[in-house]
Amino acid sequence: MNIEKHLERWVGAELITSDQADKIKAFEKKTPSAGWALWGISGVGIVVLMTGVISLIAAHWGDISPTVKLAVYFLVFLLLSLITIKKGKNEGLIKEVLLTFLSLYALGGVGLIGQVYNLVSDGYTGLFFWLLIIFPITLLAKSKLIQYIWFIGFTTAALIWGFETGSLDSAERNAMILISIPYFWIAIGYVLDRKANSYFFSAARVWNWLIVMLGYTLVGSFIWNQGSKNFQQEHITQWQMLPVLSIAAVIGGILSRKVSPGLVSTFALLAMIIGSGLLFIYPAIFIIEPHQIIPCILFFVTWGGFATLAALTDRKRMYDIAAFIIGARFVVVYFEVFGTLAATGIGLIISGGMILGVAYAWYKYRATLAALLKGAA
Amino acid sequence: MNKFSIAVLVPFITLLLWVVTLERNISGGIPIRVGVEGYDPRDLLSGHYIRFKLSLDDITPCQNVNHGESSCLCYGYEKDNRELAIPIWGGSCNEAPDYCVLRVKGTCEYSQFQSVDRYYIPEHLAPVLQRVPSESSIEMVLDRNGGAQVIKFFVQDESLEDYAAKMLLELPTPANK
Repeated sequence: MNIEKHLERWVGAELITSDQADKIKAFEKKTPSAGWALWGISGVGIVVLMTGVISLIAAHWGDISPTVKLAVYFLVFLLLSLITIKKGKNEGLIKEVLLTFLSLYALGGVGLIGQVYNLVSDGYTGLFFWLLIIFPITLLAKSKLIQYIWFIGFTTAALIWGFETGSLDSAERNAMILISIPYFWIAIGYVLDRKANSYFFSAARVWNWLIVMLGYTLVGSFIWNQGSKNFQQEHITQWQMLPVLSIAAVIGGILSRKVSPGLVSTFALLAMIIGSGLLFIYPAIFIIEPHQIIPCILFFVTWGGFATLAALTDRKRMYDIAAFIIGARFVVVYFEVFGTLAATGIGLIISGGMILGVAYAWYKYRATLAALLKGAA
Repeated sequence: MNKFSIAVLVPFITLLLWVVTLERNISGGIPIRVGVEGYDPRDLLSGHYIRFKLSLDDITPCQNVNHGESSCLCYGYEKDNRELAIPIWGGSCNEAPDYCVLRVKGTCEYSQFQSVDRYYIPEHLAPVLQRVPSESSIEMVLDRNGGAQVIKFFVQDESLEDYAAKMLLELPTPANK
């Protein structure tokens, strides 16, 4: 939709007057933007150019001496850094793109140095080192991309560490540390997010909530269905207390938030934490028998909290995704409990009717529910 | 200089210092040439490295060392061969004898001594280096703490690159078949 159509809609909604719309149109005509076509063509040109440069270098990589490789790398690195410093005086897309590119260039450097000096690599040490050296940049950047790249790198390095260093003796220790990490990051994200533009701590919460909601709730549901007898020890060890501590840290972080958006929001967050903890952490510590109803309830509590939060913050898409996931889980538990109904035609008709009824009710009343939740906050 | 400039320069300066440290280790370390042997086919996912392990002869550096703990492998020279150092002792670094001057520090992973284990090879030489050739050796520099850095890889007295280039020429081409 181009700007003229936007302006028509805004005039129609009485957000702006016709005079203001005309003035905006006149201004845009005077300073035409590059347009998507130019950006697209430029983008293709840049990709082709970079591919050519990379191909040329790769084809002659063996012929280039290590000294030349390192010298060129550092010269380009210095140039990029100086350009970033110069362009970084003004906030905007260019600054954020340069910071992201610089960070990835540094990662390439870690790999290059490892290759030139034939360094022993365990995979995670180099990654953690890279994360450390780009941490100041990531902290100052205002772009979501570099923040999430950092957290993806962190998660990858942690997983490699967990599996590479795990032996029969340390498997439990590594597992407990790994499953605690997302909760600790969420806690840090709440406790240290004191400023309005603390993008890093916002990304810490978002990324790790993603791991908890999409990872822990699903895996936890599965473990509850199977029971944890086969891989759980008889006694509780000290490392198993770490996940409990991490959940306590998140609860503390949530309750100590500087900004208090309301009681309902706080309860929603607590539901997410406690629900996901009981779903995933509980069977990691205690031996449980297979269950179907308990994990379902915990799942609804956790995702219900998420849906509530989405409704309170006017995030329609998140609300709909949460609703879809809750609905899918409902269907799963329905057939788990009433599985025998699927064996007959009548049973299937009844089941289908119920599911359609629930779907229709949700479609009709979801906006009302969202408004109710918002009003209760 | 503001904090933004400092943050941007941190990765550049850190990596540069790292390279300077590695170069100092090489120039200040003791060069030594030791035998190696293969233990795995070349790992393609490792970015075209040839993987090897240090030849231990009859030395067992992990015999009395627990999994995950560090261990030392000591080298010495035979009277009539000052070219290639041979392992003369292995075990916990705390129990290393006084004559253990040339030592490589590693870790015992499931009774296997792990230390330097890779050498970069250009991709076009990969077809003839599926396994570590026999009579292979590496030149590495050792620092006082047992840290080792691989400098060069040899097959008999030839560099790995020259050996592989020669083998590549001997590969049958479609015209010769």
